[in-house]
Amino acid sequence: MGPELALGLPAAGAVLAAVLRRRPALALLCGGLLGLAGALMMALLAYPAAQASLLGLSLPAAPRGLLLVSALALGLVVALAPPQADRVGLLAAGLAGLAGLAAVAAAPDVLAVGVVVALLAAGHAALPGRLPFPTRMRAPGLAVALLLAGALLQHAGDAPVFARLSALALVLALVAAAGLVPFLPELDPAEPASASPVAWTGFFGPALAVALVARIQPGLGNDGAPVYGALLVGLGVLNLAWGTLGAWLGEGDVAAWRYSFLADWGLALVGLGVLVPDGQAAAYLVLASVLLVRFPLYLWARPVLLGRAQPAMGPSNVLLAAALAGAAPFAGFSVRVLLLRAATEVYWPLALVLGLGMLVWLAHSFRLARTLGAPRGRAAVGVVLALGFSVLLGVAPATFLTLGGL
Amino acid sequence: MTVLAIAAVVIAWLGGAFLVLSDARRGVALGVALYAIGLAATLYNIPPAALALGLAGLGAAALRLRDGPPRWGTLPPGSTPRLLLCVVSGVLAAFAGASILAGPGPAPVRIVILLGGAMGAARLLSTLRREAALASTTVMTLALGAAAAVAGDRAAPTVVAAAALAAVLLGVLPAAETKARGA
Repeated sequence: MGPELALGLPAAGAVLAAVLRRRPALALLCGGLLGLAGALMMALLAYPAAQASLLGLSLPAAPRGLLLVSALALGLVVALAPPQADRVGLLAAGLAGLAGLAAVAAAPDVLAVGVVVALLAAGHAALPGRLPFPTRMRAPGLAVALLLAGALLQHAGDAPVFARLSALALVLALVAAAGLVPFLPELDPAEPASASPVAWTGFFGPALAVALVARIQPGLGNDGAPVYGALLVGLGVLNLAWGTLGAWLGEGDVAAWRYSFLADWGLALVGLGVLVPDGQAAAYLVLASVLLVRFPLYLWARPVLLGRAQPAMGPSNVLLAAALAGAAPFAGFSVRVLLLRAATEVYWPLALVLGLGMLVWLAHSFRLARTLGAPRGRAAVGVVLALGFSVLLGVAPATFLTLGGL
Repeated sequence: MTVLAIAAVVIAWLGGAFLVLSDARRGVALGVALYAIGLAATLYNIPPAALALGLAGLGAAALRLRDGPPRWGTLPPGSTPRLLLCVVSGVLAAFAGASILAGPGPAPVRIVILLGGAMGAARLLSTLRREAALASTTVMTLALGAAAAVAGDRAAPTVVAAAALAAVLLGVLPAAETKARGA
């Protein structure tokens, strides 16, 4: 019953952390131990002996790998959260999210993914926050409706138009589920970190997208695949352009951070859309870097973003700017090389468009690095670890790709 | 289509219409309940799915009755656009479900699934009321479960059970917004 434990242990941890909220140390200990046990179980699922399931569940390698990366990212942000952050809230929401994402990964088809996304999104939107529940529920709610439409069209008949419309609905569902352009959720800069749409896009989104892709691709057929690929590439370029320009020129540093996530997601969507191994690998790596580098750095930038600390531009910030810009040897560099190679293989003018987007990317990196101020204490350790993960993703991408079975 | 199937579709549409047209707990709960009854009736040839989704929908509707403004709140002033939405959704769902789509399942179920998806999504995208958003998500979840049941894949029973459970859990979520603590 490996998959059941991988799903149940984080869920139990989330419940326990929420119940013990008034005793933070105990809540962190119990939730942390159960989360760690769940992550270990996910890792053990790489071995066939651990894959036997009472309920017939199975977690494919790619989403399972990204789930492990999500668990690592959660451990990082909870253990090294800024002093004023609600660590118990982060842990409870994160563990519930991990359980939900494991359920998405184990979902047998697109309809099951829709059910889990509805529940996961409602749980996230119900977290205490500044924006009302319906506003936070709009993008994922639309994703659920689009998943339903896509699944219905898959069974609608043999005409090619149904396969094409199904691919259209499912790609739009993926983009809406991750909270990307053109389904960008409303953002309140003072929203608590765990309830923010940035947390949804930066923490829940990557594993959700990879799990959804694993369920969508087998049902596409010959008629749906070109629509699927072209739409993903088109939406990827749109998000890349929107994200880089928004992060550069957008008003407010919180918005700039949010747009920078879109830029990363743009690369991931293009990678998923080009349907060649290098593209898939690039998408996987960029989503792993969102989890391990950009999302934790965003959380450590929040004291400056909320006006509790001063921005700064010291030597460490220059290094962070290089990492956020995708310079060698950091994560973005290997992603860019793989993606440009994949784009050249499929349709070389696409590589030119991507190259242009990557050049514009440089403009916002220093702006974001400044918002990390002068990290001290836990935040400094966290920044060093995030940079370490970025270097690891950049120089040894095969480690992460093997984890995802790529 | 039999008289029963037509009646079930009309009941489900009425449920969707109450959901779209109501701004308070009784109207919203009645909408979910009617939709669940209509959906279960169209699924009569798959009794386990009909029972699971019908009961889950009724349970979720009963749970919706416990909080939110204690009125019907149906057809408040300015609801003409919503009324039009209900009519147009009904006509389009009936046309697409009966004439355009050849599957999954019989036409009445397809129509009811389309009604749940379209009216649930329309309400969710247009409301600022938490109880209505939760009820809309419940209706879409029930539609997902019904689609899995009629698609008849190997995993259909699991998806139907998950959809029924999700509908009840969505009913358990309170209608009151909670204020943020910390950052």
